[in-house]
Amino acid sequence: MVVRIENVTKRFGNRTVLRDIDLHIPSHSIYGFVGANGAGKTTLMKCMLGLLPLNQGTITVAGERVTFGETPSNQYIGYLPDVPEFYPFYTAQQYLELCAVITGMPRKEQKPRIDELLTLVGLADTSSSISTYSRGMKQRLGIAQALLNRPKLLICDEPTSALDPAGRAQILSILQKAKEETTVFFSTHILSDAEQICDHVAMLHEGKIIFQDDLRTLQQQFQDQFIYRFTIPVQQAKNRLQHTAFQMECSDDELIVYLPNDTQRLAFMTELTKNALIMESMHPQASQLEQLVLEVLR
Amino acid sequence: MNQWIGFFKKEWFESVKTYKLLLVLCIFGFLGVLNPFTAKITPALMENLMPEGTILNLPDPSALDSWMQFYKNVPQLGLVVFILLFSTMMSKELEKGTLIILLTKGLRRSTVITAKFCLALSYWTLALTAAFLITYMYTAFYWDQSGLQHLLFAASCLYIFGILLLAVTLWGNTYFASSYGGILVTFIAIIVLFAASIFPTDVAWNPLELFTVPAKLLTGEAAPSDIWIPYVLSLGLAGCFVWLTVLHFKKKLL
Repeated sequence: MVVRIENVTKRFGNRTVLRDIDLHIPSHSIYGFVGANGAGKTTLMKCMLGLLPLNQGTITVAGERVTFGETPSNQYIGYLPDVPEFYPFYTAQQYLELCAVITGMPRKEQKPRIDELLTLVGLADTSSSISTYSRGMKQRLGIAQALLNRPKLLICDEPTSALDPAGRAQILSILQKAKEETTVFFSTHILSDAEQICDHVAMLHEGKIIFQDDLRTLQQQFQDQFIYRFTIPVQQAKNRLQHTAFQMECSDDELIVYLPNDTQRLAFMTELTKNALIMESMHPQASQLEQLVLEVLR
Repeated sequence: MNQWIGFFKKEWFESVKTYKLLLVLCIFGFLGVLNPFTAKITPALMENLMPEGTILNLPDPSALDSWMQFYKNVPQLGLVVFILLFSTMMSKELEKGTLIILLTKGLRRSTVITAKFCLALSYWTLALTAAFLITYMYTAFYWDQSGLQHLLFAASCLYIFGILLLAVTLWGNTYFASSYGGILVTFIAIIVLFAASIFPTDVAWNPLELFTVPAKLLTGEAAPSDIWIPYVLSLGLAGCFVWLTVLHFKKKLL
C-alpha cells in the first residue's frame, strides 16, 4: 500500500468535514475518489499533503507519516490542485525548471526529464508564456509538474471537472499513462471518468467513506442488470411478475431486473408476453458506478 | 541553498516582468534629480510668486538645502510608494494559490519569507543608492558639499528605518493574507511610534528618530553616537518581525 489513511477526522471549528476515514491505496493503481462538491475530497487531499492538520488519525505515504507543514512525505507525492495556479510570466519550460530546482533534481537530469514530460502532456511545441494558456493546457502543465520528480503517488484534485470532452479525454489518457510509473489518486464528481480509468473507487459522502472497493467487484454487483419501462405503471408490472423467481426492484418508473444469462433473459421475455406486459423500452444498466452511488445514497 | 537561489531568481524575474524594477528606478531616479533641482529653483520661484514690490531676503541655496529636500522627499514620498509597491509580497501569492504547488514540492516556508524579504531589501538598497548617488552628483555639480557631516551615516539611518517598515509590512501582509493587511499594520506601527515620541525621554530610543535625525546629522547638531539605540533597536525589531513572519507562515493553513 502506498497510502494508509487510518481513522482520520478533520474539523473546522464545530463542523466535522471528515469523519473516521480509513482508506488504503495500493501501488500502481488508479484510485478514484468520488463524491459530490463539498463532500470533503479536497480537505482529505490537503491533509495528505500536510497542508491541513488532522484532529485525529494518521496518514502515511510510502511508509512516511504525514505531518502538518513541511512534511518529508511530500517527496513521494506529486500534486495537481483543482485550479492549478502558475506564474503567468513563465513559459512551461521555465516553470518546470523552477520546480526541478525546488525538488532538488540533479542539473543534468533536468532537461531530459522536462522534455519528456512536455512531450507526454503535449506542450513540447508551446513556447508562449503561461498567461496565454487555456484551462486544459494549464491542467496538462499541472500534471507535468506533478510527475516531474517521479513521485510514488500522484494526487489530482478534480483534474477534469472544468474541461470540455476533448480536454477530459486527454487528461484521462495522460493519467492512464502515468499509472506505469506511479499510483494515481484522483478525485472527481464525474462518475463516468472514474469508471473509465479507475482500478479502485472510494466514495466520500458527508465526510464519510460510504464504499471503497475494486471497481470490478463493484461493477459485478450491477452487471447483468436490465432496465425495463412498460406502458403501465412499474409497480403494477412488478405485481404481475410477482410469481416469477426473477430478482426485480422498482426505481422511479423503471423496473430493474437481474438477468445473468441468456436463458434467464429469454425466460423473462416469455414471462412478459405471458403476462401481457408491453415494453416501452429496455436497456442494460449503463453506468454501474452511477447506479451504485445512487443506491448507496438512497 | 539551490532552492533558495532558485526561488529568489523567480522573485527577481517576476519583479522585472511586472515592471517593478523599472518603476522603482524611475521613481527614485526622479526623486534624486528633484532634490537639488528644488533647492536650486526655490528662491527664484519664491521671488516670482510673491506680489510685485515684495522684498525677499533669501539666502543663496546650498548643498544642505539639496540634502534637506532629499530627507523630505525620499522618506515622505519614495518610502511610501516603495511600501505600497511591496505591500502585496505574500498576499498576492496566498490569494492566487501559486505557492501551493511549490510548497508541496518541498519548498521550505522559511525560504519563501526570507527570499521575498531579501528581494525587497535588494530593491530598497538599489532605490536608495540610486536616489543618493543622483542627488550627490547633481548637488556636487552646483555646490560644495565638504561642509556636510555624516552624509553616508545619515542616509544609513533612513535605510535602516526602511528595512524596519519592510519587515513590519511583510509580517502584516502574511498574517492577514490580504493586500491591505500589510499597509494597515505598517500605518498602525507608525502611529504607535509617533504616539510614543510624544513622551519626552532622556535617551533617544524611538526608531522614528532615524526618520528625523538625518538633517541634524548633516549640520552636526547630532552625532551618530546619539542615536545608536534606535539604530540597533530598529535592526533588531526588523529581524524579529521577519522571524515572526516565518513562524506564522509555518503554521498557516493553506
